Amino acid sequence: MNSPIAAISDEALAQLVFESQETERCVKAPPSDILERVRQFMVLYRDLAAQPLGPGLLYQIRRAEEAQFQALDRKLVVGRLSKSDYHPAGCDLACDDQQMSRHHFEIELVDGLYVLRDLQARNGTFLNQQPKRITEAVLKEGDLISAGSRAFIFLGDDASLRVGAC
Amino acid sequence: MIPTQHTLVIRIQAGGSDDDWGRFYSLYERPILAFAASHSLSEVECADVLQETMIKMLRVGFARFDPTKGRFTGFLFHVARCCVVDALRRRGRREGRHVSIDAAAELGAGRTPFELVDGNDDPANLAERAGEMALIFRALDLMIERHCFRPRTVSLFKAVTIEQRDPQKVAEEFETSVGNVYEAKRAVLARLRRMLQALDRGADLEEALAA
Repeated sequence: MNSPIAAISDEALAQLVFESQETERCVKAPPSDILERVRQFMVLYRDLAAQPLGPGLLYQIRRAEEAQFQALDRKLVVGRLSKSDYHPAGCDLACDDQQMSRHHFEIELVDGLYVLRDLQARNGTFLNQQPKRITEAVLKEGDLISAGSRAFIFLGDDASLRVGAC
Repeated sequence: MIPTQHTLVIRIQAGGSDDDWGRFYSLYERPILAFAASHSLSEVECADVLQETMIKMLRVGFARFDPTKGRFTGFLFHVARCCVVDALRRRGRREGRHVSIDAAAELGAGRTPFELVDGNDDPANLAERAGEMALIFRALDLMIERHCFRPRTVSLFKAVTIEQRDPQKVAEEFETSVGNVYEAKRAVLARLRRMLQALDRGADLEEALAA
């Protein structure tokens, strides 16, 4: 349909209708939670004082509080134990949440992909509200990670938006 | 020819309301899924591509889009293509093999489960084609859903256009004349054409339906 719609014949339009039905047969409806995740992301992202471009986690400390962003370099450990002189092995992102383990989950950059790993947390780590706890999963932009009573939205590297990047 | 509502893009670039985003999502949801499916991705992977493309657009896509450098749909499907490549790389990892970005791009190119473009697997064309098909499907679907035609007219149209049956046999089956079969086809196509023209001018689906 590169020509203007007014210029094509009825037969050509009928053929496009036929092809569209064939094409659509191969397209399955996406799970409805995608739109919900996109909306959730939008609400939190707009709430940030400055919109970050790099990878990281978007989250709220408590509902109705300002959104926060934790940048991610090569590895990020999230849990209840905060890093300090006494606990140098504490988490990069510490959350005051009794339902989270001291070291709950980590995200690591492996071969250009961000891999989420559960660190044998007592209450488990969940992805995109799936009922089954994960041990390891490759993350994509907008994935929702649930740990304890907290939820984190993963944001990837925006490099792939640069022209010619793929 | 996926019509991008110019004003919608401008509104979203300026921040946009929830309603604007809803319209954007609804307009491009199926074209992006069709584009992903045209690269031999599974149902789950197609859904992943949709999620990733939408978030990337919301995050930085709109801010980076420059209308002086090209069409919005071209830009959007460039982003979608990057997400297809990412999906193929994730698949590689699941299957225990390393897939480089270049290899993934190559793997995804031109592998279509159904013929979207005759002998032309250029990603931009594939994207455009997938988008067009999805839009025609939605326009027709909406016309039928809103009862723009009598059920009998729709049945006659579907029989000769979608099922591609012989008009003579269809006429016999419906106990009508061949002329009536052609008239039903012509009427639906004329309305569809008006709707597509309105979409091309920048109307959204609801406005186009009223055209």
